[in-house]
Amino acid sequence: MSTVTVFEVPRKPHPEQFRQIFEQYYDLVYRTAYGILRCEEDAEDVVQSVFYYLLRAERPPDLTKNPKGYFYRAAVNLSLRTIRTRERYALTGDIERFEATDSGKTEELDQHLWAAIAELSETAAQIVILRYIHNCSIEEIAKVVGTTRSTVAVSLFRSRARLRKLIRASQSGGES
Amino acid sequence: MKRDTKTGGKILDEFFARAPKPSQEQLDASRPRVLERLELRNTAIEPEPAGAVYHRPQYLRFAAIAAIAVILVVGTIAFFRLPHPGVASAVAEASDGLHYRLGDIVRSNGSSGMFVKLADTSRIEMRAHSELRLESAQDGIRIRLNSGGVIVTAAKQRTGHLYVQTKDVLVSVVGTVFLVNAEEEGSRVAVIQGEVRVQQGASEKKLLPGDQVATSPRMVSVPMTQELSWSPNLLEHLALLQQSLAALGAALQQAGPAIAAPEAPAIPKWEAVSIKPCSPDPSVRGGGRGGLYVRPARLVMSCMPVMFAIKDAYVRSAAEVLKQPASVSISGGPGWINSDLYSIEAKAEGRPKGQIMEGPMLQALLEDRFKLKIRREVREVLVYELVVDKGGPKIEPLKDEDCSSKFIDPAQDERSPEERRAELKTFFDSKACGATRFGPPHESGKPAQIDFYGMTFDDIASGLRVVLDRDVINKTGLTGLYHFHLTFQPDQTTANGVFHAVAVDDTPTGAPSIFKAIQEQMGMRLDSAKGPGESFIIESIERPTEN
Repeated sequence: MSTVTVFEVPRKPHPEQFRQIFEQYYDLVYRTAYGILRCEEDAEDVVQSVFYYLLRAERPPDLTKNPKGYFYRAAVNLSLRTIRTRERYALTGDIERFEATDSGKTEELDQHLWAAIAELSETAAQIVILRYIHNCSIEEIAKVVGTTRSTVAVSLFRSRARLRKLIRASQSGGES
Repeated sequence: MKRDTKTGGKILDEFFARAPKPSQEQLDASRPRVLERLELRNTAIEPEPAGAVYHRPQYLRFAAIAAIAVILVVGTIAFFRLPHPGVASAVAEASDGLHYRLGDIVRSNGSSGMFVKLADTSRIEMRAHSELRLESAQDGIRIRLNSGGVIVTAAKQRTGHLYVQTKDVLVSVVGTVFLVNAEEEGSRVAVIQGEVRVQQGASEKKLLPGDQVATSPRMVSVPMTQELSWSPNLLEHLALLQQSLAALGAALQQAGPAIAAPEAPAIPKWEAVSIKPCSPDPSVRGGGRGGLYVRPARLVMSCMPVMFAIKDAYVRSAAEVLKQPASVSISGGPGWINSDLYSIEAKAEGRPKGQIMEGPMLQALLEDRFKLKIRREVREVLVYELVVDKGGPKIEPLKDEDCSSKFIDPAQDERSPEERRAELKTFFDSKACGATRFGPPHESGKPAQIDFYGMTFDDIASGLRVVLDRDVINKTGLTGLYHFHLTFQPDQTTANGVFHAVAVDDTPTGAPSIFKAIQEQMGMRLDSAKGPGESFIIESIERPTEN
């Protein structure tokens, strides 16, 4: 006797269902995008793109398993992509000198750091943002990105080290 | 070292602490805004599959139909003409198929340019909003350019001359390609190929390819690329100019090394181009449809089908006069150009204008990396003619006092997005003139609606053409401005326009078809007819080469 496995293909949400999903996850997506992009309009563009995909994708994402994780990932990825397209060419240039205490340079520092986060691997960037922007616990992050707690911890350590290195390089460049 | 590490960590903590958190008010205010945009996009948006994601208008005018909360159509596609079908004395035929005699005025009103072919096969390319009169000269035909701009490809004149006259200059040629602009301050003449004589008052100048002359010192010098940028045949003109300059340079070198040939106005080049396939899923790195952005010295297309770039490069940018590119079709090409998604990042040499990057530079990119071969045709296509029905119009023209204000063209609007958005909220309520609203946001069981606010019938025909499956030509003969509301059931005839196919699958709403609605609610009729249509035909295209 053979067994037939039936795969449930995700279906596009019904308008009412969509509305519920939208209401439930809007804040999460917006907060994530706004925290990264610091611009209302860009954040709204990201939110719109994330939800629009649900409406129009030929194969919509499966939200039955980890919807929160999906929306986090989508928001982070699209926000970082926005940063990448914003900053790509600035990034290729030398990192300019900055000092953390110089308020005039804060904006520039933030831009460099966000650009550096955007260059991390997809998962590493998600982990950094969940940890430091959303103050999620290691356990929560592990659930969202679908990995183990130790992987999250290692990833965080490495990402932080990389960002610190970037800051140090910039500082030493400033001293030379 | 330790100090550095500590400092770095502290800086990092401060950096993360600076990440802003939106207030509850901010969230509450943005939620309905985004929802409205989503709902509008879900009904009224992009023709699948060249889908467009909402971005601010300066980057995606092409996606404006798809994206803005309300779709504003300002501008006119008007065909002011004096039809003389089959008249033997006609000296010119326009791209709309109509004939013109000496003394007739030809106008390319509204947002679309026009082509006029003279009996001697000379060709006049008219910029939008241009007006000329065909006159008889002693030894040929004189084109009196009252306003706007023309690019004339003059056929070889056997005996006489072809003239272009503006208020302050007379240009005479015997066979050449040149441009004339009639502006308020004066006139400007530029030569692409051949030799042109320009007479201003008592003085006469001879111009060669690449030469330009302006009649007023107040007219600033404009690069040839920019001068020709409105032409849908920009690339052809530039290629011809370069060819002419090369020939001229060779001739000058033979004459003596001391004489230098004028420099060819080259199209700026891309310094670096990256093309990568991507996924439509936004949760995947680099995935999720984006749009096309122009930033200083760079162009970015985020995960869109190549057809999106083709439309942007050829339909919108190459013919900047076209405010409604939906009326221009692109055909041909394999299916993947609409389905496979690509992200393109291109960095330009120097700081070219956005229009140049999205136009000729993007065209060059597509031709180089996708091996795109495309041609443009103006041919007879099926159109609708909007005419007054038997019982007469059921709507009344507005009185002056009914028009509260004029909508400001986004391209001319210096205000911030916030200020503009604030006005949009009240714009329709105030019944301001010069805009069309398509809606409501798609909800199952609701009919489609269009509101025209203080618009001429030329504007209304333009509005209808973005809804219907064919161009609409105003044949009502009515003048004045009109407010009115149209309610109808979307169907196949509206499936490719603003009211997307999504709406077609809807349950019937009980509203009439758009044809019946126009009859019942406007007292007008849409008749099927043949008329001019522009189309781009993709002859061949290949998947992009590796970076």
